[in-house]
Amino acid sequence: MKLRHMIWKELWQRPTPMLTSLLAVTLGVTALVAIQNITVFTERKIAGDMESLGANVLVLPPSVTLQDYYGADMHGQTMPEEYVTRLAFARLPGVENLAPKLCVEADVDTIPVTLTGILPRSEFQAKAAWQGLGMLGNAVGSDAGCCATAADTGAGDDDPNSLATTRTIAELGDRDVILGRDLASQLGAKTGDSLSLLGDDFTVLTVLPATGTIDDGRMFAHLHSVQDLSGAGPVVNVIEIMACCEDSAGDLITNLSAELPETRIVTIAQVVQTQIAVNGLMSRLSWVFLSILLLVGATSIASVMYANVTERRKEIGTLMAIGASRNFVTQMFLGKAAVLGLVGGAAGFVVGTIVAAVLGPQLLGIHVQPMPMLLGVGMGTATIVAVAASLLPARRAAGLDPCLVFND
Amino acid sequence: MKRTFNQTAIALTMTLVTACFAMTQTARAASPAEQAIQAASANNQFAFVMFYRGNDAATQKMHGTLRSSLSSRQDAVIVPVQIGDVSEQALVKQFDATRMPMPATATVAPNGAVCSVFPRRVTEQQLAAAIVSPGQTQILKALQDRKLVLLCAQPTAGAPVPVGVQQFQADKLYSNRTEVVTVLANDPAEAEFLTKIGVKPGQPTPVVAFMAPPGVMVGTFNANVSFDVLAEKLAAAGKCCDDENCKHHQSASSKQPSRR
Repeated sequence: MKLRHMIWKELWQRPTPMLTSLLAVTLGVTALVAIQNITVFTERKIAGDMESLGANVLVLPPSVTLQDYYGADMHGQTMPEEYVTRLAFARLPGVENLAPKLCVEADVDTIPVTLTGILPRSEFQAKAAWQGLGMLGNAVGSDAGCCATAADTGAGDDDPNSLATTRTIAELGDRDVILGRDLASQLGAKTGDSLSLLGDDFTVLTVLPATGTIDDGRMFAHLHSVQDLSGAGPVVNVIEIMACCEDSAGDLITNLSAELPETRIVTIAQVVQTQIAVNGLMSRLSWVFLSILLLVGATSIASVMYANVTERRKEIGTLMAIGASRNFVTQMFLGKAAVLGLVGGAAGFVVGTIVAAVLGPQLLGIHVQPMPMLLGVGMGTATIVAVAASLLPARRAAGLDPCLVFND
Repeated sequence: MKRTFNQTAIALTMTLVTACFAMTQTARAASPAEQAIQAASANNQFAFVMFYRGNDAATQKMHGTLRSSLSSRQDAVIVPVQIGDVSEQALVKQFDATRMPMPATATVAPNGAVCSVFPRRVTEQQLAAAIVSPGQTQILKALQDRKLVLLCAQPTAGAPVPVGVQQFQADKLYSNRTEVVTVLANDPAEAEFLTKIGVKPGQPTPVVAFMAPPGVMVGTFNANVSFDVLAEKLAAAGKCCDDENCKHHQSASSKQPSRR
C-alpha cells in the first residue's frame, strides 16, 4: 500500500472530477502565461525599436491622434510638404534626417495595396547645398554637435534596404518602387520586375527584409511621384524626424514647435509610453485573470475533494482499519491535489505559450518564444492553490473514525 | 529601283522629322526669368530669384527688402518669378518652389551656384552676405554638382599646387569627380571665406582645405599632404559616426573604395 500507487488509483478511478479540476487549473495558468508572454515580448520589441530608431519625433496634422508609431501615416489627413522644406532650411540642432510620408491606396493587378510616398536623403542634401557655407555646418543630415555627416566618398554603398532599419533611403528614382516582404510574396514580385501602379509603370528596386511591422505589407515610391500620380498635390501625412542622439535632441521639441506651430509634434517616447502603459495594464490583468481562474479552480478542487471524502467514507474507514494512519490519508489527498497542480501548471504553460505564439504575430506583429521562467511560476502557483484548497477535505478525511463509519 | 528609292526617301524623311522633333525638345526657349539669370551670369552678376505665389503682404515686404538692398548694387539683379506662371515651370521645378514656403528668394551666382535660399522673409544683412567671393562660388558649385573639392589657398599666383593634390586629382578613382579650386591666400575678397572654413588668410605656404558632398569638411592640410593621407581622410569621413554616444557608432562600416 504505497502512497504513490494510492494517489495514482485515486486519480484514474474517478477521471471526471479529476479532469474538471485539471481544466480549471490549466485555464488559469494558460491565461497567465499567454498574457505575460505577449507583454514581455511586446516590451522587448518596443525597446528594440527605440534603440534602432533613436530619438524619433513625428510631425502630424494638428487633429491627428496617434496610437501606433508604424501606422502614423495611415490617418488620411494631410499637411503641406512645404513644412518639410521649412525644417530642412531651419537647420535645427540634432536633426539627422527627415522622412516625410504620404499614403495612398492603389491597385496592382486588382490587388489593393498601400502605396507610401517617401523622400530620399538626396533631396534634402540638394536643398542643404543651397545654404552657402551653412551646408558645412548643421544642415539636415549633419551632426549639429552629435554625429558627423558621412561624406559621399563615391563608394556606391547606398543600400535601398536601409529603409527597413533606418526608415530613410539615400536615392530613389521617380519610377522605382520598393516592396515590403509580405506584399512582394502576395504579388509574386521580385527585384527588377515591372509593376503597373496608378496608371504608370514602376520597376521594383528591392524587396525589403521582413521587419515584423505593417511596413511588410506596403510598397514605397518617390513622394513626388505618388503626389503627382494620385493627384494628392504637394502634401504629406506625417514627417518623421530622426534625431541622432538623445542629448542633442534635448531642445528639439521646443525648436520644432516654434518652427511649425501649426502642427502636432509627438515624440516616439510618448507613443512608447502609451504602449508601455497598455502593456502594464495587460500584465496586471493577467494576474487578475490568474487569480479569478485559480479561485474557480481552487473552489472546484475543494468541492471535488469534499464530495470525494463524503462519498468514500467507508473506503477511507476501511483503509484506516487495515492500518493506514491519519497522516497517510492526509498525504494521499494532498498528494492528489499536488499532482493536479503540477500537471495543470505544466499544461497551462504549454497551452499558454502556444496561444501566445499563434496570436502574437497575428494580433501584434511580434514573434513570441517560450519563457521557461513562467513554467516554474505556473506550476508553483497552481500546486500551492490546489494543495491549499485540499487541506480541509484532507483533514476531514483523516479525522474519520473507522468504527463510526462502519456503524453508518 | 523605284521601290528602293521610295524606301530610302521614307527613311530619310523619318530621320529628318525625328531630328527636328529632338531639336525642338532640347532647344526649348529660355523663359523670361531664365533669360534674366543667363544675362546676369554673362554680366558677372548675382541673380536674386524671388519666387512668390500671390501679391500678399509677405511678398511685398520681401520684394521691398530686395529692392532697397540691391538697387544700388551693380553686381546683383532681382528676378521675380510667380510660381503659377506656366512659362516658368522649368525654373520652378529646378528649385522645387511649389514645395517651398512662399515667398522665397534664391541667390544664384554668376557660375550657377545657388549661394543661399531665404524662405518667407529676408533681411538686408542676409542679402549682403549672400553675395559671396568667387572662390566660394566655385566651391559651392562643385559641391552642388556632388564633386570632391580641394581648395588650395596659395601664397602667390604662380605657386604650384601641392603634389598630393595633383596626384589626387589625377587618380582614376577620383579624377572625374574632383575639383581643384585655387585662391590667393592674401586676397582680401577671399579673407572672410577662408576664415570661415578655418584657413588662416595670408599664409606663406599653400594650405589645402578638403571638402566633400553633401557638405563635409574632410580637413585642412599643409602643402606636404600626400595622396594617401587625402584618400584615408576621405574614407574616414565616409563613416557615418565616430561618436561612441551615437546610435550609428557600432554599425559604422563604410570602407575606403577599392582601387582597381
